Amino acid sequence: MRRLLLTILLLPWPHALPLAAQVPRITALTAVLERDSLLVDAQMADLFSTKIANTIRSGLPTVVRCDFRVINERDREVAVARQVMEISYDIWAQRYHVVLNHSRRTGSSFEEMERICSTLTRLPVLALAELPAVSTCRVRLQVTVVPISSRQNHQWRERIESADLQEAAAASESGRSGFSVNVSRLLSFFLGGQERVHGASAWATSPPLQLAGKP
Amino acid sequence: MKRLRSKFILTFALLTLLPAVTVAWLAKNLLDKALAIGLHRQTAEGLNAALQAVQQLTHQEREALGRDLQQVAAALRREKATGPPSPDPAHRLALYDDHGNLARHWPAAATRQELPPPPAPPLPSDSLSEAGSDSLAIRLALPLADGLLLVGERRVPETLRRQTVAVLRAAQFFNIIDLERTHLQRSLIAAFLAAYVPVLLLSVAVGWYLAARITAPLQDLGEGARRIAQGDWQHRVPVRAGDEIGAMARAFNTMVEDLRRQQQQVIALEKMAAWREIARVLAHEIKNPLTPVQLLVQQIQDAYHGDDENYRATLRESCGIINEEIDKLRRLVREFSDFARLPELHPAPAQLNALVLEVARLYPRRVLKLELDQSLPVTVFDWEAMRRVLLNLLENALQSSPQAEVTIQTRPAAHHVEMIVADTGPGIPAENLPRIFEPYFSTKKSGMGLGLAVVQQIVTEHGGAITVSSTVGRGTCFQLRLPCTTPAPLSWSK
Repeated sequence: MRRLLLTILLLPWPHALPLAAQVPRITALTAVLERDSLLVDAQMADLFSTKIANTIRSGLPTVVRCDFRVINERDREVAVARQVMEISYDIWAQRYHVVLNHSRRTGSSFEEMERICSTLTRLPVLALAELPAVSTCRVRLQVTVVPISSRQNHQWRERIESADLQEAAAASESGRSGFSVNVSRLLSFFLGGQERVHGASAWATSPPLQLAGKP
Repeated sequence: MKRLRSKFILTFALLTLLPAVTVAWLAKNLLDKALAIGLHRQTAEGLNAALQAVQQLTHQEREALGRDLQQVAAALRREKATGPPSPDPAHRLALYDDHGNLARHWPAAATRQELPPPPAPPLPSDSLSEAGSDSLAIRLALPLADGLLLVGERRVPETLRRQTVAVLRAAQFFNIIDLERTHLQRSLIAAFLAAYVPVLLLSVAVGWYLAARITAPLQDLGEGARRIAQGDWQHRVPVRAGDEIGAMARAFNTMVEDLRRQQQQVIALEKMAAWREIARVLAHEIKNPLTPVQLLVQQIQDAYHGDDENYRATLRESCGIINEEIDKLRRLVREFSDFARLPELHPAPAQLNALVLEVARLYPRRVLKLELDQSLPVTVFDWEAMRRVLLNLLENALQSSPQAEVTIQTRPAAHHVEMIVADTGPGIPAENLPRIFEPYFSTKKSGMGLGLAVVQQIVTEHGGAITVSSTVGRGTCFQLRLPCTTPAPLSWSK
């Protein structure tokens, strides 16, 4: 009996399991000290799956989130940082724009934009003053693609709910009335307003960086 | 009992779960089908093609503007030889000097506001570049010699603008649904669970309540049966409702009451049978030597031929006393024999009132108060046996006190008739009442204490019952109940 109940309860869940999707890879990661900052050079691959590429091409802005963890000799986390890369496509100008660390770069094709996004050169992660006193450290990086921001998701929910509003208006005009379950609202409630992550890379770790000369 | 309750709850949960899961499965399949149709590969390809088509059209617009800018630039270089340039009238061109001042513009009638503004720095160095296009117009810039900058604007046709916006929106919506497909399916499951869990809890609660309503009376019955088995014949199960379960509880209580009454009857009959056996043995053992003893006494008396008158007188007196005692013993033996060998009943339909009137005529010297119900139904009873019962009760009542008023009352009741013999005598002490029907129990100086025992036996044999109530100083009341139907014969252990 217990097994039967367990089977029934778990029955719908396998369908809800996320499908395996293409995830970004970090092929190279190096941390350097320059002036008073900890900088990172990184090379990434497979950043955008076909679905995300189509989303970008249709003009929806996408975010590539770079999460940095600075770890000491004993692999203990000593500092964290995040840099966000915003990608958008202007169909009228036929240009891809990439904004990272207050700098805007433009690509005339998707491939060019992907090259821009896949290469991080001397990206400032932390000010040296923000790092604790450690002799050596390593930098870990995880890249996450967020094709639907929370704002977009909110718009998406509104669009789902507006479908029911239109139906309700049509019902009212035709003289029909009565109680009905607003399925769209229920669905949109469970869809939530959070951003959607589609593909996160594995954590990559840079070679150790000597910090002995840190002032 | 807990298992039965668990089964109830599980059944209710399953009854709720099965249709809900079926509906959820159908809904999910419908959603999958709808998504599969909506997100079909051909649809995606069509949308991408449409997107590329509008991009191509926009590109052509850009190329047309770019060509015009190049031609105007070439014309400006050869202006002295070939005359002023004549750009496409659909374009608005502006020539800015190295300080950003407007040097020339086409068409000549255009105002400053209608002309494309110079692009924000950094300015392009040597080739065509974007100069702030938007959905209304495409704008390009071309640097010329001497720091001059030629900026052109081409209005996006309204049809192209609307088509592009429509295609972009469709593509965006498609891509979002495509990306959200898994999450949408998961959300459907979550929505199903959110709707189903309260229903499940409600059904479990209802199952629990109904199970409790059904199992609680069963538990009462089980407990009642256990208590009865332990000998607690006073225990009754509570009747909780007027439905079938309540009827079952009532039937159980009735059954227990009947069993208790029958058990009491059986006990009384067994007791009576034992007493009768004792009476029979005693009668036999006492009766047999009485005749030889009497003969011997007579022989002793006759055998004396002496002249001693005193002795003769003493002998005669002693033998007389012995003979009197022998007579008493004979009477005792006769009563014992009568008790031990009660005649077999021959019940027949008769009117109880007639019996009362016949017996009452035997007591002309005492005033008997008769309250006889004329609607009394015909009852089946043994006339002689019941006459003996009434005589016994009347004798007791009349002997209780010479001044006692005696009342005989008859009345009908449900399925039986009642006869009450009441007196206003001194009454019976409460401690004697439980033993009043026991053989050989008597509060009178004379009598063997068999009268009421015989009465109870006869009434019981008729399938009836007799009860007594008494208050010292106020009198005693015997209440006799006889069934209206023919009594089922009880087996006696003789």
